Amino acid sequence: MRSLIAQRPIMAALSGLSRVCINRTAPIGAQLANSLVQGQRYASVKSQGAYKKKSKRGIPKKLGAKRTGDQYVIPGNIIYKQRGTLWWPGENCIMGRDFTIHAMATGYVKYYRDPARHPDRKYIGVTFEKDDVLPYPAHAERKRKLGRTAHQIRPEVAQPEISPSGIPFQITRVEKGEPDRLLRLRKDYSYREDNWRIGRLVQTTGLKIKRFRTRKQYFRHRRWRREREIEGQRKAAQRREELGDDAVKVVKQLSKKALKKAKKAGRK
Amino acid sequence: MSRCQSVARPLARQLQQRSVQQCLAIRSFNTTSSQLNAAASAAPVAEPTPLDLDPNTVLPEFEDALIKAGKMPVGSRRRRVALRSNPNSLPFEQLPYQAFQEARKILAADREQKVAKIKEEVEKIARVEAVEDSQFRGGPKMKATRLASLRKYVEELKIKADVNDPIVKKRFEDGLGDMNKPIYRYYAEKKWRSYDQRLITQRISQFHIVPDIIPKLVPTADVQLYFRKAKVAPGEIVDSIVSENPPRLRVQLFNPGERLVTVVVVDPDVPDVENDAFFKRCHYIAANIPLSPTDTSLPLSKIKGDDQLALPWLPAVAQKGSPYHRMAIFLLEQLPGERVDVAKVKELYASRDKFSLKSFQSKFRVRPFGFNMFRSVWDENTAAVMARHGLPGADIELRTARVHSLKGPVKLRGWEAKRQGPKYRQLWKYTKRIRGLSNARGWTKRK
Repeated sequence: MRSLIAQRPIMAALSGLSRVCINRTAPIGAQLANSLVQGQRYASVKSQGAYKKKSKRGIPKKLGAKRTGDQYVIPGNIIYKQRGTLWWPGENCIMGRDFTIHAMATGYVKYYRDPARHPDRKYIGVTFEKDDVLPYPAHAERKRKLGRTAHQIRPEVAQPEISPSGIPFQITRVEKGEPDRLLRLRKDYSYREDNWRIGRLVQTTGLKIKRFRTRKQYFRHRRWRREREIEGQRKAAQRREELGDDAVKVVKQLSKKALKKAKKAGRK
Repeated sequence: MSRCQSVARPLARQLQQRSVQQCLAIRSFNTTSSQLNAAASAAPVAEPTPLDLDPNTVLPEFEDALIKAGKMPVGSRRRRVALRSNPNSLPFEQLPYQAFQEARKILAADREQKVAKIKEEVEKIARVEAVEDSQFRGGPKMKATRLASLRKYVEELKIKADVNDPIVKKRFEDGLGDMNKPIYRYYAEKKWRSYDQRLITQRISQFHIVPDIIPKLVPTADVQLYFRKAKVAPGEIVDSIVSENPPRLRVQLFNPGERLVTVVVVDPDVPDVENDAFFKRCHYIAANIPLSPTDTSLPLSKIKGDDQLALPWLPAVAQKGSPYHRMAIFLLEQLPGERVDVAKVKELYASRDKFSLKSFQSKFRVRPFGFNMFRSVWDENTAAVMARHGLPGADIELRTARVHSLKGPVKLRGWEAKRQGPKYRQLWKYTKRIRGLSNARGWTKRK
């Protein structure tokens, strides 16, 4: 019993109550209220330190800056992890789904403010040169890098149409009312469509699988719906106010069962 | 559905269908348009009647011939057909509705008032002009301000006099408005500002035209772009074979008077592989082109004069793998009465690369007032276009440069990677698949 009480403060309080009940000198109601308000705990419980124990540490989320100012980063590097937008993505940076700031170019991290863009947002940017200062002047040309290398285009090697066994490498199956299918010769001398082409067939059906194409669209829809609801509620409240209290007749939604019951009661 | 209903339904449906068909038959008797269309589709080429030569009553099949002859069809097709069926109808302003005629009287009275006011103001201007500069209270500066404000007020009154006239509005909507008159320019500008101006401003900011090519640009004229007779929306990606020949611009000015204009086409996205950057290339320069609110067509291929064309059209091409090229078309206004020295332009910009519109602007004292753009990417026709015009780089492909990780190479892990040494010679036939290096088909890592 003791150990149980030690583990659970509520149980301890209850046990306190039960003791109070035995004491007949004070009115029971007052005693009950006292023990609840004061939260009586006895020495034996206190000595075990049950209520002083802090909850165990949670899993660390490891938020915060992962790269300091002027540190070198490459595309995709995480610069800052956060809940919400403590920092906003600036020059050559993007924000991920969980508000993480990533670098989009090789360069040096800069933490800065840009009052021309927003009066009180803090930005993280990446500059190509270490000495550059962000924000750049408003009417200066943007600094951009090509980030590509030149390669010779390889001429396409012509494939023979007929295989050594005398049958064509690929044939087209034409079926009325269906898109043309390109079947290719396989190692086992069967003709089969490429898997990636089969995957593309879904697009020809015009089926709509998801209501929203992207997660972003869904969230935008949810936001707009919420705004509409709030607007509607506000208008309804306004209308109620205009009509006055007596004009409003609240129709409570009842289930079928409840309706039936009410009907029955009325008949009696 | 009950039994009798289920029996009766197909019968009823048939009856309904029949009645619908009958109705259709009756309607086709009455309407002219469907009948005429049907007749046209049956006999492909009919002789044009005199009504078909009139832009107010031309039928759709004769529109092309009329446009070629230089006359644009007026109004909607529906209206044209209606006018054909009832040629002797009353003119709009004589419609016999009492309220309409009363309203017209009120508008006419208002116009009279405005015209009287204009007369008064013009007289006032003449009086102010007659006073000598030194005699005017506040000096010559004050006199100039006073005159400017009076003239502005007169212009305002001119628009207010006609702005409520339904005939004026109709003429504008039919495309018959005379752009020498302030009211039609006012309507045209209002229409432009309602959509096209907003669109072009958005394109200027979203494609970063403003900091990339010039520091400031506020368009004040409507510039539309046409390739092969088809209108191209600002920022659209145009096939390289289509943009091989210079486009036609349709420029609508909203302020009166003729002026000289310079056209410059710039591509700010030419890849510079050596410096890992981009530079700007000039694709076209023509100067001293006269423009006024009434002549709107500006075909770049028709500009050939020695004192006009400085740099001929260079087709818009993008190398394979390069990001899209923005082709920015600028219209720049020259100072009144001043001509651009085309020979000097030719000499300065013989090499089209590393062009700067900002320096061009300051050298030749021109001010940008109109803008449009299209985009160009590598497509199946680009190589042929480049070959035809002797442009290099068709055989070169740009690939994204690999950025290597900042972390060092990781030692290979796993059962198979551990058993690669000669100690495990007897296992070699089983230790072929190492992650990142090989798979069942063989060695995958490129050397």
